[in-house]
Amino acid sequence: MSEIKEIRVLAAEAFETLKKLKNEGFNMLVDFTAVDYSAYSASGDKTDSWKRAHPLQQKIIPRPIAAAEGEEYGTPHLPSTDSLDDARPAPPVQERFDVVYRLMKLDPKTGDDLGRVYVHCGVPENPPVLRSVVSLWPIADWLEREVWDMFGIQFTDRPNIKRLLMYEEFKGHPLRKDYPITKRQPLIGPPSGDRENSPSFNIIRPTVKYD
Amino acid sequence: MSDQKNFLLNMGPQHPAMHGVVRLLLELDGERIVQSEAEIGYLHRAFEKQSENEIWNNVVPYTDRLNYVSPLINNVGYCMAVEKLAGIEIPERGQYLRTIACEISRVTDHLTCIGASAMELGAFTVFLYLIKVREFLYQMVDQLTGARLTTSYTRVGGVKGDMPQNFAENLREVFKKVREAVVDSDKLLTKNRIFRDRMENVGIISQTDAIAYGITGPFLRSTGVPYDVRRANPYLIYNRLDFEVPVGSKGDNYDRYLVRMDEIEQSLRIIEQCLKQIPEGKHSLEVSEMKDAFVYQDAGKKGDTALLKKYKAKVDKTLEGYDRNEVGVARAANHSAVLPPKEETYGSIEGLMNHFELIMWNWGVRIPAGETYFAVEGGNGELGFHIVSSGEDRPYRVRCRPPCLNPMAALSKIIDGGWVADIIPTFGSVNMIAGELDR
Repeated sequence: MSEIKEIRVLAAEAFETLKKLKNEGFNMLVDFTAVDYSAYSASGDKTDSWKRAHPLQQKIIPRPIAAAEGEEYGTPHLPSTDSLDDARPAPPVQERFDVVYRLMKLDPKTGDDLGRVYVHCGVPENPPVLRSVVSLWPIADWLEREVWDMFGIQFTDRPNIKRLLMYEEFKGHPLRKDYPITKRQPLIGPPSGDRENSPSFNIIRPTVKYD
Repeated sequence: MSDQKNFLLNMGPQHPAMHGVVRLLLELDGERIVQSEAEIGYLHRAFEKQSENEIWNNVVPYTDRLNYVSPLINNVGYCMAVEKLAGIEIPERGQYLRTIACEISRVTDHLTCIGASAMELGAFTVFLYLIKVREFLYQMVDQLTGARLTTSYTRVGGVKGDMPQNFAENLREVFKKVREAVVDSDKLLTKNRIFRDRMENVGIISQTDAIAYGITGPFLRSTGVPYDVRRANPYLIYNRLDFEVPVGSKGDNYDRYLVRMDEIEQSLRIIEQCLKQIPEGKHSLEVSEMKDAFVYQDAGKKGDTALLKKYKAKVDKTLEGYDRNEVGVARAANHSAVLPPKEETYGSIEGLMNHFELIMWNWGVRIPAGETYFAVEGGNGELGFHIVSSGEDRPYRVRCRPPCLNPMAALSKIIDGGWVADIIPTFGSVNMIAGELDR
């Protein structure tokens, strides 16, 4: 098994760290994703969790966080303070989001995995902004689009970003914990007057450039 | 003719040569592609969101629907990621069974890919040959798991059941047919002038680009990089097996076709070795035996320490005020995280109760809080599962790293500047599986 190292960096230093790692030979960005820790309660053991209804019958209960969203969500039913357990351990990050870059040092001759490094980076809720790594690894283009789509994390220094899996008219970011699983949206958005100029139609984005 | 505008063509989302729903936007100058873009997401089913609301074992059926051509590899990948987080290791026989299941799935995946892309180039006979033997393999999967496609074979801590009677013999019989069909297809395609003209030097990707795009699997190996998760980071029992990692040199469609053809043979070899080596014994972890609390108490009074050590106390869960989560049955750290075998579930009241306890909402297996990433070699490359647990009975987050997303992201780079007709073989060799790509 290859050696796996996990490091944690600040959002502001993420790009420089990743650039340094790339120059050290970590040539493959295996995966890039995010986790929303706003509803995290490590070990629900001591809480009366069995009284909780199935999520299809209830609204999702996130930990109360400062509502700073400009976007429309279903109103989450915030629990009253006495039902929240005081003994609940804190999530592994201070910030709401934790993004993970999984890098691999791949030897092109032997095909060996010469080691991996997982770069964790906390992203604050407001504003959720990160510097893009498209200039280092072109695959980051699609992966960042997915993270934007699912978590609403924005990326600077990159060409125009658009949703990867959802459609342009979709409202909200579905993998955020305050997006209720029961929420429904029309599958196709309201017909825009000018379909020709709608972002979903007939615009080819140029292929990304990278070093 | 300077005022002539380039032509914008939408290929898909519904197109006979698109393996699933995907849309390619093409800007054409005559038959040449000037620019292109792939648009995905038409088969998005919110796998990751849904997984956050299901107990650990109930996510397994959703993984069937990721790469629906090789569902067993997804089952194994997910369960192994969960087991890594829980620190569970399954018995050896179970590991062999999982390996056999994975490799059968890899063969069906490659057969489908080669068959479908050959059919799109006009070789319909090859399609029929390969899909016919794939059906025989599906019958074997059916015998093993009880379903052709929606297998759900693995459990956290084991597999659904052991091999049925005569499975090994039947499998060897099927392999004869598979080998015949592969040889026949090889005769029809490999030296076929029409096929080679369409495949050779088409859809070339350089080694550097492939690595920069994070491409893995047969697509990367066709460029000459022998990276295979089974070899680089062996899991299950792959380090005991003798198999080769076939590579190409040019990174064109023809190389990808050859790599896949060779991998079928290697997978068959792996299964044959597994069938020889597979040990007797249990295939899954045991459901630990539980005694009622009063039995335990009586034994304590009698001084029966042997029984005290051997069994765990089972407390009536209807007792008021008792912290149910302390009940040992829901702990992953010991062996009781496992669903009982189906024979037990349907054959005895204890088995049924045990099954029900583990399946019921909020009563299931509890995986310790933490985060992990585990990758297996899927049909298209590195299939990774990133799992976060908050110590509850369901995942806090499940992320699937779909191996065919990377070649799809690189697709427009590969096809730009080429001919429209070349999209078909190139797209065929990407082996895009929409279920996995869009999740």
